[in-house]
Amino acid sequence: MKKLIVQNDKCTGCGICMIACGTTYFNDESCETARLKVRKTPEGTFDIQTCVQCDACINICPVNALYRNNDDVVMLDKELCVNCMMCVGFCPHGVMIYSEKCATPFKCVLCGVCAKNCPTGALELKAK
Amino acid sequence: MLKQKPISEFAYLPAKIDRGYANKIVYCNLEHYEINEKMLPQNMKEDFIGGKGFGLKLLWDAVDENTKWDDNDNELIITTGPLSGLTQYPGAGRAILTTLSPLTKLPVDVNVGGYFGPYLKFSGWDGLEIRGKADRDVILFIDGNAGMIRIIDATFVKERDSHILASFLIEKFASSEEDKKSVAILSSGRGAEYANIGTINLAFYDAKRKQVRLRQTGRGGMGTVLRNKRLLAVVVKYNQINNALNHPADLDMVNRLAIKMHKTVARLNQEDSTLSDCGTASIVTLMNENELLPVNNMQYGSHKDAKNIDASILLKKYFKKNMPDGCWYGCSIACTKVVDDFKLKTGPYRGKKVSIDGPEYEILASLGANCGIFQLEAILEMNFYCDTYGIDAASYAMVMAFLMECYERGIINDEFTGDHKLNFGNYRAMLSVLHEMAEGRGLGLIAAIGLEGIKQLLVEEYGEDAGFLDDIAMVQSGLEFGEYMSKESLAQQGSYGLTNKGPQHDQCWMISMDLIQNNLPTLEDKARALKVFPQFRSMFGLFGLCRLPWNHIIPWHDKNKLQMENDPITEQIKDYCNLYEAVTGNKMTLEDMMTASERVSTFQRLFNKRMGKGTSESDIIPYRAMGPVTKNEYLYKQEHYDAQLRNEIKIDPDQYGVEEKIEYLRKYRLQQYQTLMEAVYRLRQWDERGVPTEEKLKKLGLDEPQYLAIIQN
Repeated sequence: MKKLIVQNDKCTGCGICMIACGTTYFNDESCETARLKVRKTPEGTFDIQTCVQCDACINICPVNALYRNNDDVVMLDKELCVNCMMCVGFCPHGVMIYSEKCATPFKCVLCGVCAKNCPTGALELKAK
Repeated sequence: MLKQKPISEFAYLPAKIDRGYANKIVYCNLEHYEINEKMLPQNMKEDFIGGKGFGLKLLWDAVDENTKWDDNDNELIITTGPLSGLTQYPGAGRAILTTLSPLTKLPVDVNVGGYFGPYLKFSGWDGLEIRGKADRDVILFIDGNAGMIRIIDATFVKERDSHILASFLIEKFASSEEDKKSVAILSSGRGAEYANIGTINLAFYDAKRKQVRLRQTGRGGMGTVLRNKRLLAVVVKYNQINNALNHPADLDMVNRLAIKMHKTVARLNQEDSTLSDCGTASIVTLMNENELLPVNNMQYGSHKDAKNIDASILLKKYFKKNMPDGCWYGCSIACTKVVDDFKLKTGPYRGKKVSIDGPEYEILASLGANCGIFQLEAILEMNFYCDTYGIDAASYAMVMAFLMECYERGIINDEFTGDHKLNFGNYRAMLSVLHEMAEGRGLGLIAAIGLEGIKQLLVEEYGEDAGFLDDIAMVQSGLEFGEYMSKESLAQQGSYGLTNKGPQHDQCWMISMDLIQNNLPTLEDKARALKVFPQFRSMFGLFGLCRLPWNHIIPWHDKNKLQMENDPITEQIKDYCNLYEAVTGNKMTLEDMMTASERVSTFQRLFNKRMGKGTSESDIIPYRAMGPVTKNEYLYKQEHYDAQLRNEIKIDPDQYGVEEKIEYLRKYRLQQYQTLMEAVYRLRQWDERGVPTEEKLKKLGLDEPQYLAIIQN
């Protein structure tokens, strides 16, 4: 059982986490395909949006394509997915991702590549 | 899988969908058990777009002015639009059914959700034309993956009622539990074998709920036509669904527009989730508070017990929250709610636990309030039986409301009713009549005729007062009214009266704008709305979309946003044009869209004219839709009516008795309706008879000699 710990106060907005994520899965440094999003707040601080493994996408999915694996991570079964995009629209954190590069939506699977590359410790993958 | 040897079969190479179109129609003639295919002409796409447009044009070509609904030549046509089947956009699971109605004798089209439309298209067909009548019960089976169509002898199938027939057929045609969601069924029920008010159910397997669900085509007697053709069911099977099957010109744009829409719906749900939670049932209380809920055959507009059928009770006791009860993938609105584990108390399935699709507002208002019934469980029971028997609940309820009023007024007696005590509120009697209708006996057989026929029966066979019955029988052109009180809303009167297929609100729904929001203060405003909205709303049927997502994201209870409805140039409406372009690759401006819709609406009016109606005479509605017929109705809103007499008609109400005041009011309101009608005709460029002018036909490209001949007759 793992959990991604986010400490916004340590975030400098460098975006390395997003680049690491996009590069790992899509060889894409644009951040568009990153499964977490770093946003600058009006106050000038940074807000890291990551999947908190809630049930919003599971509940809205009409074909049970979203499920929890044995580690409690919400996963997408691409075979069952009909690409309805409702999970993308209904994710409260905006981190169910759609990209032209992939037929189905995709999300954080807690691989930890973002945390591993974060230079400030704002992201940390910990055992629950 | 069924092992029966087919009566006939047709192997084909499934067309690859190209930018929303399969470019082929399948034609099935049950008279000769013939199956064939037709190419879709390019100009058909340009002129009629799809869905409703295709259905009407195919029907036009199939029939002539003498064709009756039960002739071999009358076709039951199922079509899709270029956007039907998108899994990512809300409300895209639509099929449009078109036929000559046994009730109106006119073309009727209905737009219905479920999996049937998308599976038909993915099987390689933009439409299915069914002509002729079989000599025995048959099933038409389309296997879209294998490229095979079969007509199967169905005499071995004992099931008739939709809820068990659909489950039986899904079991038979699915190769596994997992495969059940690949099967979509179109069927009716045993009631449609006797009743002119038969409806069709579109059944699909909801993988999330692990159960079969039904959607109804509703109005116009579609189920009656289906069973008259001895068609027990149409089954279509297709698997491997994804969002690219329409092969859109710009898939990325389709996806982005869809996500934008989902995000809007998600945001709106956070503000007000009643539509997603309760479906259209959520408006019962609002209608009651505004005296728009029909009560006792539309005599009154509210009732103290309406709270007993309020959506909050459905939500608390009957609906499961957090279930996406959409009727096709990608519908984040998910307004089609489901009542689970409902234990039936009457009829052939007494004691069984069943699921019920809905109930929607129209069900609660029609089977409930308008029959004086405020017991939710009784309404649910009737809702279930109407659906499974293949009976249009709205028509059935309006027939019963009329019979109840006739019974209470002594126009019909116990001998006529077969000892059913048809007082308003007697749901037991109402259920008994429903079961009789399914068995083809007793009063059920009379109710099965439909309201127009019953009215004629009472006048011709029983010598009843035709004038009074014309006033209180809520029927126009043969179709029973929808469930909004239009007495105090001239615009809603026009919405019901000035449509092509009878008094329902598919094309126009003005009640809220006119009466709740007061956004249409002048007669010109109302006339303009009656020009614009039928034109605009037809677009959904052409594209193959549901209208509710649009209604939902322009919340009709929001005054500021509602203003946009009168001038429907909104970002979201433009997005529909963008979506059409993203799928088909054809640019469509808002103006193009309105013209395309107007072309089809005008064509439908011509079709009506061709079939002997479609003039100003058929646009007249019963007086109860316009004002108080009886003393009690007048007294119910005396202050309001007196004020109208004083302020608008300029007579002193204190000088007259109620009956005289009713007459003054009647004269005034009939004149108002006439004035509105004429204004709408002018805006639609129809002549004073309500017939489209030659100039208009030319502008719309409907100037072929066959069309011009219709207006010249």
